[in-house]
Amino acid sequence: MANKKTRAAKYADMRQEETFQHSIVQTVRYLSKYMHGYWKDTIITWCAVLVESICEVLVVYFMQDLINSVQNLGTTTTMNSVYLYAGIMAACALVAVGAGILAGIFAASASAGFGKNLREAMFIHIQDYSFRNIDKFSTSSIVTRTTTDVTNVQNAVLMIIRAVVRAPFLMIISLIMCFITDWKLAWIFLIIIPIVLFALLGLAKVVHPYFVKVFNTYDDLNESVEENVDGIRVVKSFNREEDQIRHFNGVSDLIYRCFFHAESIINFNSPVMQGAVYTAELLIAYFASYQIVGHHRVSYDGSAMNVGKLSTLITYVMLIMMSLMLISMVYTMIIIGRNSSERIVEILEEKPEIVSPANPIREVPNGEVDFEDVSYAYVQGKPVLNHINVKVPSGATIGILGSTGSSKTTLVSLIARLYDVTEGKVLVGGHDVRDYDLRVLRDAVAVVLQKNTLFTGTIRDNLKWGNANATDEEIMKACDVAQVTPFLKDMPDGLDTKISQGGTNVSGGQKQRLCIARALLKNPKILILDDSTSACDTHTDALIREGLQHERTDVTKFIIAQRVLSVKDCDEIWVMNEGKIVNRGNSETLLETSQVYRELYESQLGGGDFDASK
Amino acid sequence: MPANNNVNRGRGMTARAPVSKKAKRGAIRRLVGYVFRYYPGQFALVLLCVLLTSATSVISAYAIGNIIVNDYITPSLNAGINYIGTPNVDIAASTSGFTNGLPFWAAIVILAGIFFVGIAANYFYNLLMSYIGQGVQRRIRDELFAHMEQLPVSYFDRRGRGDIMSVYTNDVDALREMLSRVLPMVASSLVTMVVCLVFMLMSDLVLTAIVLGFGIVIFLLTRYFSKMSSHYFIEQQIELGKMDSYIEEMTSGQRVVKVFNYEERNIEGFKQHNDTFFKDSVKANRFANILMPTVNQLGNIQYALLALVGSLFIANGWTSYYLVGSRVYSVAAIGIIISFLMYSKTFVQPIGQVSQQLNAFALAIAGAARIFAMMDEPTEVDEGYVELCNAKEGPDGNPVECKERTGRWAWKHPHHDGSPTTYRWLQGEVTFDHVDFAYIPGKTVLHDITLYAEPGQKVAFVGPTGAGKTTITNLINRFYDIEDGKVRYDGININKIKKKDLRHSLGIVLQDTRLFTDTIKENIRFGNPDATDEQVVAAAKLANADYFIEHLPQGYDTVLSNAGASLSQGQRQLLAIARAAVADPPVMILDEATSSIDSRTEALVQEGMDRLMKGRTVFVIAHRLSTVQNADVIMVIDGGRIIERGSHEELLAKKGKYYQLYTGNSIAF
Repeated sequence: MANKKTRAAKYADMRQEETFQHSIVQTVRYLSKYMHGYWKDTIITWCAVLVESICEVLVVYFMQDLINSVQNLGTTTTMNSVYLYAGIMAACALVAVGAGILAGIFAASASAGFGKNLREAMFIHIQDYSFRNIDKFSTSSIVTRTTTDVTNVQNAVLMIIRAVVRAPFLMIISLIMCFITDWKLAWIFLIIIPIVLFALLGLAKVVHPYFVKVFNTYDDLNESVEENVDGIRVVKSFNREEDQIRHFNGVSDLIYRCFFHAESIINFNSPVMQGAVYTAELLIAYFASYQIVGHHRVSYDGSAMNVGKLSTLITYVMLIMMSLMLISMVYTMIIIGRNSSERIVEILEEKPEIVSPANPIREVPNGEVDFEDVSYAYVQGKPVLNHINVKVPSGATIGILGSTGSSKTTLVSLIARLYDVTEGKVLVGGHDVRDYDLRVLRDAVAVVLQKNTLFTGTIRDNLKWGNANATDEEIMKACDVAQVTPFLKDMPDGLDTKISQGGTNVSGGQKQRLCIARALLKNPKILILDDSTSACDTHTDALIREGLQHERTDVTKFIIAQRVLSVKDCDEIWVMNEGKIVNRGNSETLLETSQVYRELYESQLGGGDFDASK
Repeated sequence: MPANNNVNRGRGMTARAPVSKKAKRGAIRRLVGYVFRYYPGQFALVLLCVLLTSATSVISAYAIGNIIVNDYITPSLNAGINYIGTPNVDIAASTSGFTNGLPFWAAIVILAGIFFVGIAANYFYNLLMSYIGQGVQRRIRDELFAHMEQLPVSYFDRRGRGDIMSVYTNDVDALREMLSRVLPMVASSLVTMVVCLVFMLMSDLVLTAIVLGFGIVIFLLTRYFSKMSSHYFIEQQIELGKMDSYIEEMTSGQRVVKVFNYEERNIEGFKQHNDTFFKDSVKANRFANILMPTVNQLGNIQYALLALVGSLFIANGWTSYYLVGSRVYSVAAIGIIISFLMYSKTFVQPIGQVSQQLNAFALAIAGAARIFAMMDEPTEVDEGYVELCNAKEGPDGNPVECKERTGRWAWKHPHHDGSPTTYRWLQGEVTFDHVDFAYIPGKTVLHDITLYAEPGQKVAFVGPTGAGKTTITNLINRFYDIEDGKVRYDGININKIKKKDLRHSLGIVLQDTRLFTDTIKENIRFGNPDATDEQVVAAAKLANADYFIEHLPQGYDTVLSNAGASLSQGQRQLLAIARAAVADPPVMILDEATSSIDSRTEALVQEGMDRLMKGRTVFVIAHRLSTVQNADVIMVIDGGRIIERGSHEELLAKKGKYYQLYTGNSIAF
């Protein structure tokens, strides 16, 4: 029990240190490709920022003349020069506003355009992913990477695109102006700038890992909440509220400490800046005062130090500090954005495993399927299919039985080349599936998946996935065979009935039947039904099989099922176990040769199937 | 970076229910209450330090004009005495009145000292603010969670998971943003502005009026721009949500996409979403982007205008009024105008910052209101007074309370009428006596449920989905309270039993196993925190979970993350059985899983369940034939009523609903 308190800390420490595959320069170069089409906006932004920065410095420059005019009003200057310099200053400010607005607008479209390109490129690339590629990232991670991560990078670009010109330019011009104003005092900046820059960047770097830790701990906190919201019945049943509260408090406390630590570092930012401003101000004031008074006695011309110059120099201090702050912000943005950009580059650099060959075969002659010594392993060294050797003539109907984990689905997935074999080869119509154009192969093979999906849209939209140009007549024909018609009649809008995301507004059995109809619309040479009538009652199941038998005689059919009834009448039944076909033959043969089949047969067809209609 | 903050906020924030004005006011009061109650001293220090910091920044503006220029440079220039270069020449009298008799270097040193105090105060108040902000957040977080754990199950049904989660992610996050970033910034900005205003009023009323005028313009402009941009940010957020679910749908449906060669049409669909998002994003950022340059340059235009007006005063010899007097500017007082120019900048700068933060502020207050609303939800009521206690057998065979663990338990039943406390063995007899139940008053979902389970008996519930099977079991452990009738445990009305003890006497295995991020061992121990490692392993063996656990890389010490997502459904069920086994209660509530798990694991689960049921009173929501066949009594539930009851054979002979379900002719199951 004693270790309970540190549980949160333990897991926080378990997280891996972040490592990067690419250097920042590589990442920037890689991602800059996606600016295409928006370089114009980027360049306009840069030009506008340049103008804006120049005007800003000019404002300060003329501010000096304005102040001198005010200072010497009645002695060496008149109201005319006040009007003049105030006018110039205001004009510069107005130009700066214009340029600033322009920069803002074009920076917005440049960065949004960049984000758009990037998202699109990622999405298109993901379409080429094999399942193994997808599994590597997981769906939720792919979603986060294409949305949140891109948005993060897009925001970083939005800021950087302006700052990258503005910050150095403003600093350099201000520095030059300082030298022009008074080269004898400008050395002060040369000392202060590097110190401040070093301090700010150092702070940003030091604090970053703390923030990473904070946000990771936040994930733990959210996880704890999520678990308790989902599992509130379990918590209450076992009276574990207090224990959960203690755990939560532990994580909460960790966040508190990390966050406080991080903030106590980042809080140095503002004193550093202020300290630099004050130091510069005092140094300038001190030395300038000497010069002003000293020069006055000798001569009083505009070139020497004067009050106007003094306040100008101090304003330059502000400008320079602002640009330094900007640089430190850019730096922080890069650090923060780096995680996201790395995650994006990973998606883009992932090599799709399954692609069409260089000179593909463009026609599938028939529905013959031949597994030649096929093995497959998801994880190297742990094969889930072991040396399968079996040939299926075109037009045959094969039933497949076996417990979960016996790799039935994996076996049939190889036909449509959803995975590539690890060993041996799969031949369709006499050719290795890897020699076909992927589109052609998959057009010829229709798979009704076990984990099937309907998409947001109408029933017609969903069925047209099978064939974009299908007529209503063709659609209805497929619906008849798949036993969709009986329930479609009861749908208020028929084919135009809307399906909600994930197909939650149709029952499991209806969904399966729609999926079969969708597959039939492809007019395939090979049809694979992977446990796709499990939610239909036995009667409907039988009608579907009957329909297929009569309507699609020349199609090679694979039926994976849990029910013996579903495969009993197949030309051949395979009983699979642990990645091997352990028994083959028709129902009569198997009743004699396979104990598994016999037991299943007797338990399912002998007595009542209590849960069959579920 | 308002853009960044908005975008990073959680998804779905736009769909939240609005918060009333009154609730927001209450939220502000309570939030401030936290600060005053727990950090009164620290907060006072913060205010002091903010004042010091702001004063310093104003003094720095004041110093250049009023002290350095007016007190030293101008007199030197005019009087021809070098007050600056000659270290030991004291200045006789100064216009500012601060530096009487001070040599120049001393003035500089004093200023440096003041600045140093200002900088130190700056760091100190930021640090204190972090301390207070983080502390308040932790307190609110902890209170919120502790409160949530006491809320009745019906609350969770009502609110839904996403809604509750977003209180923790979005609302607590908005609060963090406000407490640790917005609040310190706004506080120091406001103080700076006030101090600045005082200095300005003390210098020149006309010029102050100009600055205030510009201030209002800047404030309004910022409000307008922020409003426009946040409008589009919300649009962008909604579009992001749509794009999100499109990608989610298409990526999780990737198998279908592939087998139907749907990739190209899919890309077309995505491009539409992407394009809309792009447009909203451009608009939102446009408004956010043009704000700062406009505000900055308005400050410069104001500067020029002030200089001009100031000069007119000097040139024309107009009288300038300030708060407590008036003066005519002489060349000698030029520093006043120069300093004023600097105040004006210091005054205007925070306006843009503060008004930009108003959105974050509003968001945080709405969030805080939602947090407090959740904290005000009534907790589970428990008026029970009958407790469980360790007991040993007395001379008459009745239980006698004892301190030590005997492995036997008894109900300790004090009586209100003053008669002596009675004890009764914990046996596991459960009865329902004409029970009615409604989730929503008036909409009765269970009608007149009467049933009787003797210790050790098995009661199976069967019936179609939505018939009320789960609801009945939820009444036994008082997740919900019944409307009419009585539920008794060992003859005691369960309303009289302390919930904690009632639940202690009941075990539960739900259909959908919930695991927690922790080791396997701790997940099993969840059933009984006092269980030894040996008991945990024994329970795992009983549940048939031992085998797969031993094959995990770290065995019982394997950490389950993500609510045990790495385990199969069947393995999670085995753990749930082990968890119930280690609790070892006399009554079990089991909800058999319907989803198909592979036959090997299913056999293991079945065996584990059977062992768990042995010797206990069991209520099981049954889906398996064998479970039903082994039950002492089967209740067929439909429409919230028990429509048939009896043994398997009796019910089959009846040829009623049960027969229909059994023979699979009904699809309603």
